[in-house]
Amino acid sequence: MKVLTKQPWRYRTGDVLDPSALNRMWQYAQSAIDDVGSRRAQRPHLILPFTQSTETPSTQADALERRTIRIPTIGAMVIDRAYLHANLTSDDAVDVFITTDGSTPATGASTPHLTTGAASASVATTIQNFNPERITLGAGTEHRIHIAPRSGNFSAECFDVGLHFSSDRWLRLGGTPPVFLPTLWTDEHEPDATTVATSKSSLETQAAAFATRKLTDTPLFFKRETWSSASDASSLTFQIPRYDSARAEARIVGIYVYALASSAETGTNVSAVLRDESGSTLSTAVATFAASTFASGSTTAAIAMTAATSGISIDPALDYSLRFTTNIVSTAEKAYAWVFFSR
Amino acid sequence: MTVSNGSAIVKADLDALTETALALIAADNARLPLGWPLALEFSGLNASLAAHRRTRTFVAPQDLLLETFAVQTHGLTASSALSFTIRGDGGVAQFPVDVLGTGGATTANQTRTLFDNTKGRVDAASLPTNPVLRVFPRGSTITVVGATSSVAVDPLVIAMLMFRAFFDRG
Repeated sequence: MKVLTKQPWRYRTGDVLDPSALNRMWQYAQSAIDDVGSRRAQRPHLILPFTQSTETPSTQADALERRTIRIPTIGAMVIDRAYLHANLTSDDAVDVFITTDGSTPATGASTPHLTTGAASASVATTIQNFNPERITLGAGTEHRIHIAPRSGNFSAECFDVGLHFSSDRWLRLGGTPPVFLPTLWTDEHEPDATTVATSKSSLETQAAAFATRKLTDTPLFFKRETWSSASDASSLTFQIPRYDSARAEARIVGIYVYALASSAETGTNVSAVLRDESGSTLSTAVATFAASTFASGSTTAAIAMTAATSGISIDPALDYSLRFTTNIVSTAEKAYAWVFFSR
Repeated sequence: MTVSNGSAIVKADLDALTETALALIAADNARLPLGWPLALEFSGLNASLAAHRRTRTFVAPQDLLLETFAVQTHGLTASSALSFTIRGDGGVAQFPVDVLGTGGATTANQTRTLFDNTKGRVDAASLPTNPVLRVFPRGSTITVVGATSSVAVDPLVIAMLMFRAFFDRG
């Protein structure tokens, strides 16, 4: 509905107001909240490439972490649908699992959640699969997607898992949708300003939610494989374009990075650095390796940037970039970064 | 404005009861949703790469308006040809969006295709240069195919699709 900032009918000083006239005032605001507030679900989508263009094909010989992509969340998100698009050779079906820890299925996930269904003799054959089951990913959690053959070996030249997410602007961090329930008047009511003031206060409280929960999370995913501290920085920098509209507001509210190394890298790290168009650093997420060859780390923009709780404001007229850096001299096998937009 | 028993109410007082709240709701109603980029990686794109290794396929979760198509490249052969074709099914017109560029060794943000509501001709003769199809209906299978004459071994090639999509009703 078109929402006007003033009541769509005219009051004039001197009019005698009947209960219906007063009720229309509240009911119009109630309808506006119901209508605008019900448009609440965002549908971000991603492609998670398990094998990139010239990357060495994934095989069963790879350690589990090398066949795994982690999914972090800030607010609650739902996987609405999952798709598989693959070109591979395999001795048997290759399955996709969505778990909480690498083995425990996520609540709502099938086991497996996606599958190629059978052996594949040629990479020229494109295999697709689809699962409409919903999986709820709680706020602040991490889930994992990994691929595995039922038997034998496989070699995947293309293995893309597409995810449709759904996230609710009102329920993102445990909130509730705005509901305005005014006290309506009848002819039997005595005129009472206190009742009017109560409804006014309730209306303003509910309407204020629209200014504080403008958007819910939409993730952006980057992956880079086989690089080191000696790599050309330009090959590790990803542009984050925006389109120029002052009405397209967004903030970056979280950056999550994790990486694998080809050898034990205790004490070394991989970072994802968010920069603005002039090259100034806005935020850095650092994953520090312990004794293993796997490391993960995350930061929220609020922590990294300022005391503000609403993240890094994005100017829609400018471009931003995310760059991987590391002090690993050998090889960082794979590095992954998630950037979350919200408002 | 404070409403109190015994006070006279004028027109401005009645307007003031709701106008602050209505202004917030109206502003939200007029705001565009976030147009987040969908990043599709074509790292390693070169002339000898098989088609299935330079194709990304996904399904539109809701009606999507392709607002901007941006391509970032690094490490391609100098002056090499570069093209992307975006095709979706389920639309009224199913002509692809073709985007052409030139690769080079240094980082290049290819000329962006900014869709500005200019209608493209929908006859076949206008292809492949006119961007025609930019609204993808829910359920449309969208494919993005990259191609280049570059022979560099491991370039960085990222295609960014900036979609505009509105909130769904919950």
